[in-house]
Amino acid sequence: MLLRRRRSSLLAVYLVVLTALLAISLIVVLPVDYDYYALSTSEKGHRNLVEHGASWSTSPLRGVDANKTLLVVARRTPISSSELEELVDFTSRGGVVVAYGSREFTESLLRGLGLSVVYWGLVLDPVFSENSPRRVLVELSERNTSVTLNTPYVFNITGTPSRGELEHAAYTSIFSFVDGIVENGVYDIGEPIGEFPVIYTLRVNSGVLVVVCAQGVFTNSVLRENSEWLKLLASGGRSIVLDQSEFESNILAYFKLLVVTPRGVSPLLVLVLSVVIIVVLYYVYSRGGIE
Amino acid sequence: MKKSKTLLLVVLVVAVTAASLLEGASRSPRPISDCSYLITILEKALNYALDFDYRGEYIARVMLNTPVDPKLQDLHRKAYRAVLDYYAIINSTRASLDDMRELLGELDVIESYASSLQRCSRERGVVAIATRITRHLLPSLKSHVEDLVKHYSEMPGLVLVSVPERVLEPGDQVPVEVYVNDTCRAISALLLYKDTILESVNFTCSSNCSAVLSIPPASSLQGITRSTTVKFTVVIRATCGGRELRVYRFIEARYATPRVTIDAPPMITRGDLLAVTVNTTSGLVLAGVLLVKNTVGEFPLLSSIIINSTPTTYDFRVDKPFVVGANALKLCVNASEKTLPYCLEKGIIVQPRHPRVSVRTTTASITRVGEIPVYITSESGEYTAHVYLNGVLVAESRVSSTETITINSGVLPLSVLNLRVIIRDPSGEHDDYVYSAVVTSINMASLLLVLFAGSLATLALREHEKLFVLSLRTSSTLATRRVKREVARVLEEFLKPYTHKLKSHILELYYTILTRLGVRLPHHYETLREHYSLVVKSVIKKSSVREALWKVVKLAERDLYSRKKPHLKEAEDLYEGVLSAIEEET
Repeated sequence: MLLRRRRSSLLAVYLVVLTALLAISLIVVLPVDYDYYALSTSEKGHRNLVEHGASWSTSPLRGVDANKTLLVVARRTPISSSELEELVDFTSRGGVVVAYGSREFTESLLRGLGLSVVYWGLVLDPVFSENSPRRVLVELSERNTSVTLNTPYVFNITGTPSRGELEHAAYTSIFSFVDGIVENGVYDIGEPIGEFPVIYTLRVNSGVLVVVCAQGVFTNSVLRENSEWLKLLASGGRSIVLDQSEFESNILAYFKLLVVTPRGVSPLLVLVLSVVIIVVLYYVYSRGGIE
Repeated sequence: MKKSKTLLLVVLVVAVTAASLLEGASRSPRPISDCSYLITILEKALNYALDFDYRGEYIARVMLNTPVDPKLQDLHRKAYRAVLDYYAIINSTRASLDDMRELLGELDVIESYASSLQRCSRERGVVAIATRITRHLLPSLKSHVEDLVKHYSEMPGLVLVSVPERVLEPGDQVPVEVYVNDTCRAISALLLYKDTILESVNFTCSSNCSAVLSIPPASSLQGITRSTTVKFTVVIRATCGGRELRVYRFIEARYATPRVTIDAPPMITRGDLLAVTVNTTSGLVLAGVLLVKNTVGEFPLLSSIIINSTPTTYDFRVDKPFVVGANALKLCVNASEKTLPYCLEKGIIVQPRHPRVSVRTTTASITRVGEIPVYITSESGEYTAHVYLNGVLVAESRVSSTETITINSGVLPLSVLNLRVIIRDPSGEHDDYVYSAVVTSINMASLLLVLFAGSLATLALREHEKLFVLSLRTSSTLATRRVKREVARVLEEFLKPYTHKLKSHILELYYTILTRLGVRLPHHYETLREHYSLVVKSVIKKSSVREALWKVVKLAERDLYSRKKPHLKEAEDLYEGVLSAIEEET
């Protein structure tokens, strides 16, 4: 009788441990395709950037040496005023920040800087583009480097920023147009054609905040085309850090970020799991021995 | 710190994009097929070109190397090549007159390209852009080039040329005045249209020379079909100090299409006379041809027609080559001295000429054997009537006065049929007259037959039907188990002849005795002996009756299974004995 009870309790413990391991394995293995997520392999994911050597952080501004960091902030959701304050502070300490993502995010960022912002529409360029009018080529004149922006958009920006100095850094080509009257992906008579500013820089003390009005810059689909610019931005020994604070509230995404490292599953996780399993097994066998 | 500052410098000087820098970018655009976009870019380039803005040249250079829809590619390249040639000439300080004159011809391709883009775009605004390009931008560009030609060929102090500035008309005389100084000699005056020399006049004068050229008649110009202003080049050849010089001037002439009208009734019946009236308000006498155009082709009605200011009427019998339906009268006038060749059309509908007949039938017909009457009345002439039922020819008859054709709707009691009657004129004078109707026919004979057969079938199946309905009603109700049992009993009774009919008269006698005695009959799963032991023995108390029944059982078994069949009489005796025993008992 005693033997039976011992066997059934052992089986239950084994089942619980196996279920827990399976759940963790699934979370680690199964792909998550959130936009701008570090581990996402989708068009707007950042998996390639991570493989390119970037690390990620859910709290990037704490304890980071701004002078040695290139911070990539790409988001879907608008930025809060406190987050913006931290970002500007990071920049003023000598940091280089590249911000891009959804229209809502860049709009909130520019508004937070004290600018008046009106959205005009998506910018398409049938001539200076790569395979699609939505993958628009933009020239950075200083190094004669071209950047490919995935789905850029344009704002009418007026006013002066509360801090720093704003500059138009890059325009689309003279052949681009704003798909504004009807967002149908083709030109409609009356839609404005010409050069439109899509990259702005804000100098704050010794740092710089680069705001790119595009849905993708260092994302998977255009990273290869923009790697030269990334190198340029990270020159001087800056390490690339990808801001993932947006995913702090998403349990699944956050947990995955905790247990996975750019090189695979976290050694810390393996250690913790091993300890847990050993403790459980020891407990179960010692109990069995007593009985 | 120093490194960081250098970096900032690099990043911050991400300066305003210079258009020329982008040109070197490794672009790989998808071929452009958006015609609205292409025509807008073309207009932009031409606007810049007119303003001598370098951006027009940049656009032309980029667009020249940009893939577009294969159908447009050739015109696209030629158009932007012409824009680049224009820039090459205006940027050059030593452009040759021949290049300039060549460019004037090249620029026409832009008009063709704009027209192609207008055709392939569905947006309304494109028409306005195409019009701006062809009516304003392109003539202005040409005018620039012509000014350059004049300017480059100007020989101040050596040769002075004077031509009329006004817009001329075909046939007009063009007085050309040439003044040359002592060192020069005027050789000839040429009139050119594109690269073709239309007229040449040699000078035989010393200093003040004059010549009269004439604007060619419209009939001598090829490729112009609509009212337009044509530019001619006047070239004055002269020699100065043994060197040949050429001075260019441009003159304009207006060529117009003639004002011609054609009048005819919009609708006419085949065989009638069609009156067509033509005239012109141009004050000219024009020669031409009158045709009829329809689905079969284009055929001449009058191969030579003279049109003047007096309206002239021509009558035509509306027969071949006219067809029943839509036709168009097409009047084409040849080019005259003043006017260009011109065609105009007027549509007319030719209606068929039906025979004077009337066709009538009933929409619902109730008859003995499904006859459908079709009444046809001819007011004049003899025709043939073809009657179709559901597309099948069922009757054909000649009709000369009043005729009734009776057709049969078939054996079905009720039919809905598509009736179509075609009246044809054997002489071909009239067109076919077609009458169509949907007829409902009731065939009483087959209807009665069906009803009768149905009644018989109903009677035959009545009992079965009752049982069926009864079983349906009772099968699912627990409360009606009794009824169910009753149904089972009735069913058993009903099937008794089949289940108990029994190949043995002795057995039938045995069953009759059992029924008389009120003993239940054997089930299908019981042998006669089992039934006897279980039921008969327990129910029948009188031993003589039991024994008699036992004997009957044995006789029945022999009758059923043995080769030696017992006599029926033996069983009947036993049957009588049992009956008397019962009577005694009662």
